[in-house]
Amino acid sequence: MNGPVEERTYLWPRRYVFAVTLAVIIMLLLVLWLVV
Amino acid sequence: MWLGIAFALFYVIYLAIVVPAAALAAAAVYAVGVPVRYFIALGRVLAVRPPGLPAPRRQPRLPADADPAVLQYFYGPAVADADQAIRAAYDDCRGFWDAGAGRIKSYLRGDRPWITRPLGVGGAIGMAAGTAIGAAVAAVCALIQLVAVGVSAALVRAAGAGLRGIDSALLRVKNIRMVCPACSERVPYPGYVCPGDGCARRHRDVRPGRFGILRRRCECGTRMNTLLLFGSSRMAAFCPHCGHPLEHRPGEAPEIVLPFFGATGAGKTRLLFSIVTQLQVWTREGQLTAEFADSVTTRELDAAEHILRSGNATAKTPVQLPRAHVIRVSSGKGTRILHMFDAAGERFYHSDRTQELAYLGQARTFILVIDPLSVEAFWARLPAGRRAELGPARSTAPSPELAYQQTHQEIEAMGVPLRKARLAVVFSRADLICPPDGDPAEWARCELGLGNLIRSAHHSFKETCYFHTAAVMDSGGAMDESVAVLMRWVLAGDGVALPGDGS
Repeated sequence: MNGPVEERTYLWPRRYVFAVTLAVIIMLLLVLWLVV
Repeated sequence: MWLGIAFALFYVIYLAIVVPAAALAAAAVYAVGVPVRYFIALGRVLAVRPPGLPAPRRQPRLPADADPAVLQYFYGPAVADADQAIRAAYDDCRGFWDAGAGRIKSYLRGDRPWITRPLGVGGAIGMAAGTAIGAAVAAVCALIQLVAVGVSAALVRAAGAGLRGIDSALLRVKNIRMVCPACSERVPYPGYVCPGDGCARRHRDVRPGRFGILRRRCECGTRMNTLLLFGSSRMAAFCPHCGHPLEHRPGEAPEIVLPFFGATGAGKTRLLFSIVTQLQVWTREGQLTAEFADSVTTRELDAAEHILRSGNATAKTPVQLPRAHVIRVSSGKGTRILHMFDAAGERFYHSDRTQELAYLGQARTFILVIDPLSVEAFWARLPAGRRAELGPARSTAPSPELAYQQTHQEIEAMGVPLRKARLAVVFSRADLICPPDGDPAEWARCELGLGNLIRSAHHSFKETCYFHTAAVMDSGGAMDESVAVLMRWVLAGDGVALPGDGS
């Protein structure tokens, strides 16, 4: 577990990675749905 | 018998319906459940961060002498998070699998009725197929996460390198080369002390990199700017070589290194005091702004004007390595930081002692100070009465040529391109010897016999100029004009416009 300073520093980068991963997956699913 | 055949037929039909249905149901549950569990784990690691989250196995390591700052997320922690998310998802999926396998085993137990066994068989087949599909989907999702991290890390590194390049280019365009006043080393980039309350952690290199691109966070939690471009010069700086505080806010303005050299008692310190006093006079008149840029300079030069006004002699310069007197000069053409180095004359007689003056290698304009009274030939030609009168003021140091040749060799050995350097040769004590009007170089050649020195300076340096100076103040508190004339020539090479230069 990181310390509180690290947790605070990484809060938004982590959310960014989560959002980007989710967005890419949703986009791929949409593309698949449109293709199939 | 017919009953047996009917039952067998019913059981076959039952198998034909139940086994595929159970398999389909199990496959659907696991094909969807495994990726969903991966997402839940990802959300726990990246978004929710519950207190019970297991510690990541992979932690980025830093060298022992690294700056006391928090690593930038994409310089290691992002990969550690991906690893942690995958492990957490794997653990969740194992639990999910174990729960399903336990239920199927219970359907296949011998004590169970015959009607549940096909459910177990279908469920097992479906679970295997569903898990395989779900694992493949989860692996694709994990790959997407890793690609997102990789692309972001590449972009962050490229942005960091780009910003470093822009900052360096701006420093080059502004002609800013930083020098430490204490150790005289060139400072590629100042180190900074954390500005946090009660925190004095020292960051040796704050530029964009593994600790942050636009800003970094000190271990105490305080944010710090990473570039002069973003205002890092507002923080307390220190020299990364010697650790000495750099109070003059390096990086904001071009720095000019001005070394004074010459024999003992030639008048270097008095000339330095005169220059400082002239700057103060111009500041009072509102023609420019000159201020001492650090506390040491303030302490050492605060009394310069008083000493000149009183006519007292300056104290003998200690033989120890000199520290720069740092003065910030702001005029119409911008701000410059002057580093004026005044070493004791003894340092210019022996190569090993001159070599220690590392600042000579950083300068592009040099000031050689010569006391005409110390030249034996000139002294011998003075009337006896004049000699008796000037005797106490005369320097008894060796010939000024020795100091010049010695320093000239060392400057060259330090790699200074002399063909790009400028030399001011200053003949001090003009108030005592009253030199004739005309070319001081010609006067020095004829009267002082310094033809060799003048020839050498002319051939070696890009530009050489000769001056008579009188480091005295009149009763009205004005410095002798000769000091201003010298300053205009010396600083014109660095684009500093001083009052009265006509620009």
